[in-house]
Amino acid sequence: MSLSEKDVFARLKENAFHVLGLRPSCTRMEVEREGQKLLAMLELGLSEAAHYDTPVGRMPRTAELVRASMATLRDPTTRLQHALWAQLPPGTPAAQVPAKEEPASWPEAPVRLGWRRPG
Amino acid sequence: MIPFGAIIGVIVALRLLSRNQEGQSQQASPYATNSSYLFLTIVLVIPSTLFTLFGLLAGVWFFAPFTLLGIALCFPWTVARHVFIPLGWPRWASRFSYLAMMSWGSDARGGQALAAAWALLRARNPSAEARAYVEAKLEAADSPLRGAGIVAHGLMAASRGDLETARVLCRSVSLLDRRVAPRLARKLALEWCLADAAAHGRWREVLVISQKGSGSYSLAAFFRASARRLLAEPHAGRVVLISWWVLALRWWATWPLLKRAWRTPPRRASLLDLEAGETQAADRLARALELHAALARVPAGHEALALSAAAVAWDEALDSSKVHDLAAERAQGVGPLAGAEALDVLGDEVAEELAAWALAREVKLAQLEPGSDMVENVAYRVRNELLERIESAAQDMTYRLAERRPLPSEEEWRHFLALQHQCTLATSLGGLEVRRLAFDAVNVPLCNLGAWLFNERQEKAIANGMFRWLLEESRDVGTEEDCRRYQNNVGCGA
Repeated sequence: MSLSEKDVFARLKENAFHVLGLRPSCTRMEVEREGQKLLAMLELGLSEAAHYDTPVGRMPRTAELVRASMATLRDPTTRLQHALWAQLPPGTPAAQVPAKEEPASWPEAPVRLGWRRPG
Repeated sequence: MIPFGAIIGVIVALRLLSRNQEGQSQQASPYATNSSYLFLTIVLVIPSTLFTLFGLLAGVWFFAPFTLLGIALCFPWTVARHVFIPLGWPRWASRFSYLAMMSWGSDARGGQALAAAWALLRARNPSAEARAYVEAKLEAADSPLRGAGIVAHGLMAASRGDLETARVLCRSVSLLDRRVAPRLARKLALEWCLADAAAHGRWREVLVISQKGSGSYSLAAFFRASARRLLAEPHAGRVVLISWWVLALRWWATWPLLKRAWRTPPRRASLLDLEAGETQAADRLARALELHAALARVPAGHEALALSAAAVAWDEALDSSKVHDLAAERAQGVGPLAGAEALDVLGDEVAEELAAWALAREVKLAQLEPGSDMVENVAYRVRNELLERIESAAQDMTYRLAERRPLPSEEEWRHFLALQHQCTLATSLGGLEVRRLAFDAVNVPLCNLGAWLFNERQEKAIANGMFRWLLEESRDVGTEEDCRRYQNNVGCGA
């Protein structure tokens, strides 16, 4: 896959610990328990389970993602990799810095300059 | 009394126009402007209109419709631009645009297609028949394809909702020889690009377009002054803004932009805002991750600084003994070297993500802080990706040329533009070194494509556009032989 096709923050967004809402120090038992709990909540359609926090914002949580994350954390090698990326807890202040106030667009420009029909 | 003068005038007019319709095959110069309608207007339309006007003033109301028709025929482009295009009537816009052949210079057919495509863009619910009509006009404008024809294709793409293609095509008119890109076409292309960029809030792009484009100087200068104020650039004064607004003569249309730009510029956020939240992380790995995650919200203009900060933080984290201890602790039970290997993998993943971010945000590599291993790793990956894209596209072109597989003229031009855009991007991000390598990759395929279009397919205007760009590149990064070749090729005309 070329660099341009990559989701730039995929490793933070899809980190298995963030998906399950756990910290890297958690035990295997906690992974299983939390995973099963989230799957049950998702099946019932509970809104608390619908999203999870990451250092780059809130992401939608699905049952497939939860199952994949549980599988990832069962493998010690991939768990180690995810643990290093999960060292930063979700919702850290730096990620919440407001972006610069970009100047607003002028959506009616094409209409005003005669390139599009009004309305 | 038989009006012999009028009858002869009508016959001459019809012969002149029918000769034009047949394709002007006997024109001496390929850049000649067709002035037959101007001649017709002077010898027939103006006198007839004056005659009917005097008749009307004398109280002969029968002449009223003829006077109106005469006035419309005296100013065909004004009528097309202000009546038929806003009404969304491609057929009539195209017909009147044909009569305005003087305005379209050497690309009268392209001008007809442009007016038709613009009217289609303005139509509320264009019928399939109207679309087919515009397509036919575009096809006619393709042999050979020139400036107005390219803008027409751009407007047609916009009417389909394909704004990206429309942008590429409208901007490309500036690459052509001015003799085959009429001023009116360049002006309309520039105005469309400005309106599109402003509509999407891409004010930095407005600055670039207004500096590069030609044909509508005052309006471009007004947009530039507005964009500079909106972006809170230094020395973006109100006097300059109001002066260009007055000179642009589009007071009603641009009033909302003037009002917006007139207001106090927005506060310029600095990286200090970012720093405020950056000291939370207790260890180096968390700090590097924090700066990495903060890249997701870096404001435009601060990319290089933010990327350098993140890269340096990663260098520190990956060299830190505490982070090595942490990795070893987490790797307990996996293997004695698993911690170190995991950190190596982490370094590669980080470099990959930072390189992808640098490409997505078009960060100039020369602005990155030197001396950092991670910065060097990222820069290497970015250069590699840029050159791979160019080499792959150039290779596709070589294969196509070897098989002599022609594309429609407009697609040939777009193919060239895509490759040219990749080279421009590579130069902008990677600097002179990457520009040289990119030119090496595209030199031969583009030269062959241009020669094929020029010699065998008679697409001289677009081939000349390609040679002009290659000449510019060869002057900066090519050999003397390249320069000589492209000077000769450009000298062959358009």
